[in-house]
Amino acid sequence: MERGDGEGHALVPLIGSFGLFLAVRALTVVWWSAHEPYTLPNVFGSGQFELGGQQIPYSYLGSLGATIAVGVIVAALMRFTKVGLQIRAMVDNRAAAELSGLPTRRLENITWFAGTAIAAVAAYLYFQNSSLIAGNVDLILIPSFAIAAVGGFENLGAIGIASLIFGLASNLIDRYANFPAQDVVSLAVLVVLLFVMPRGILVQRSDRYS
Amino acid sequence: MGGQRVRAVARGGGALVAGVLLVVLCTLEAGHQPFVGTLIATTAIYAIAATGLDFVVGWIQEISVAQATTMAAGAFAGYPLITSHPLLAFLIAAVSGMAVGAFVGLPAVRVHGFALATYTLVIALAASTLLGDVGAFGGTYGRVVVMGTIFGQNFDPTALTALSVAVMVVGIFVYYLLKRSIVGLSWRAIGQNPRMAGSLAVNLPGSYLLAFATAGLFGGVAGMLYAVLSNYLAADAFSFDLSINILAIVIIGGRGHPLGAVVGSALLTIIDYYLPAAAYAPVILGGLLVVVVWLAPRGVAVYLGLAWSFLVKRVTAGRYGHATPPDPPAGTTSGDPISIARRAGAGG
Repeated sequence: MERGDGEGHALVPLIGSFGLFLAVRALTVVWWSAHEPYTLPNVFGSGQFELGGQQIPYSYLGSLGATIAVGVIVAALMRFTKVGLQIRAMVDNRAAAELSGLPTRRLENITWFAGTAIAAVAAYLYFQNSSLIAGNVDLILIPSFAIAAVGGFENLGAIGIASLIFGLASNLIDRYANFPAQDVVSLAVLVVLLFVMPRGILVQRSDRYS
Repeated sequence: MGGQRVRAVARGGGALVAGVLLVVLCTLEAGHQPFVGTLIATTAIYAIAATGLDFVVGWIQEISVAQATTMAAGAFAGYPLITSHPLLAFLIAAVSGMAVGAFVGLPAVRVHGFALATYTLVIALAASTLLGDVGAFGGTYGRVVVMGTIFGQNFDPTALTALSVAVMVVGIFVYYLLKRSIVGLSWRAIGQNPRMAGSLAVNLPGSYLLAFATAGLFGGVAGMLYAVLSNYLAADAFSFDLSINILAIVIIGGRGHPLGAVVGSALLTIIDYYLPAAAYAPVILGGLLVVVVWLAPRGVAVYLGLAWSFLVKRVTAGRYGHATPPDPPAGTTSGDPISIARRAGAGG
């Protein structure tokens, strides 16, 4: 909980990212219009197959497979590579990582680029199954952040489980509600969890109170 | 000691005179040029909201991007009474803003930093979506807002400019009062080091909640004024973009400095109204936010303040015989919040 005062606000990178968000989103709206729908080419083909009486498009299955593949690759990178271990060390204790001689600034840049690249892949997978409208892109932020909070910001497996539960629950609720239930569910989940388990649902008891 | 007191009284009196002069000048200018009056009123309203947000961002050093939500709460809560009982409407707007501000700050009791910022972001996005979709709030079509009379005074655009600037001046005055109060010192101590503040018997959960609630109070009043100024109340007016704009005002103008809100608001208004291609305004603002965070993280107003202090020291150097005030006697504390809070705690 140590904070810097004076020049360095502890959340300066976050503020900077809000600035980038504002600028990039405005540019996408200017270039591609806020309301015009675009259709992305489906990388997994437009066919479908039958399973248990339900027609399932290949794109859905492909998206699920790609998501699992990305998760496995990220988990392997974080667990078995030198850079991944350095990033984990930096996240765990930045001061100790710096004292150990780790290039924290370079690691931050790597994390940033990797994060945005994965976000771009996720956006493509999401919007190839629906219309891409520049003005609506930020609506994904609500469930995304809720899932990240439920999973705990540092636990990849928990985030996977949380996104599965959240996706199923919000789609079921959406079917029976006449208002944007997904947002309400996201918000309610976030509020409750931040109070009860601020570090996520699958954080071990020993870690929870550390 | 006597000299210090005289200087403090003179400074307070000077600020009061400057505030009154500002209101008078803005009113006169608004009378001559209604468009400029609207710009001044807009700047003042942004500054009120940003001054409130500065308690969170500048003092307790947390990020909230839900200030527009508190503005919306104030505007929608005060709307039913704004024509018949405007004063009561503003009071309800302030209380509603405060309540929503406290709700926004509720998780601050348990989480901080990125998680808290995320939560406020979700609140802001969800609120703007819900306000637009739920018919009870007028949807995206909105409602016409007509302000009634206060003590027989009809609020034409000129009077509204005067009211907005006056509320802004009062807000800045409250900011100054809070800065040296125990509450303000507690907030600033938390901003510097929460653990240290906690060990000095500062009530951390209560302080976090109060800071967010106070930010909401300012936001609620600003929201009501915003609706009255635009004669229109719709969910679109309090979008997530407005929240980020208010945060940008605080950061670009300078956090922890009351002038920061005014400077940042003026900058935002100028970009909004005078940029030839309005669609690029968020691009300019976002870019400016990144540049300021990178090159001048303390904001523009701090450098203006430093320049002013330099000038004052140069002028007063000849009068008092030294350029800087003498060092405090041994055993007394310096002016940083941790020291002052420690002294206050020791004194009971």
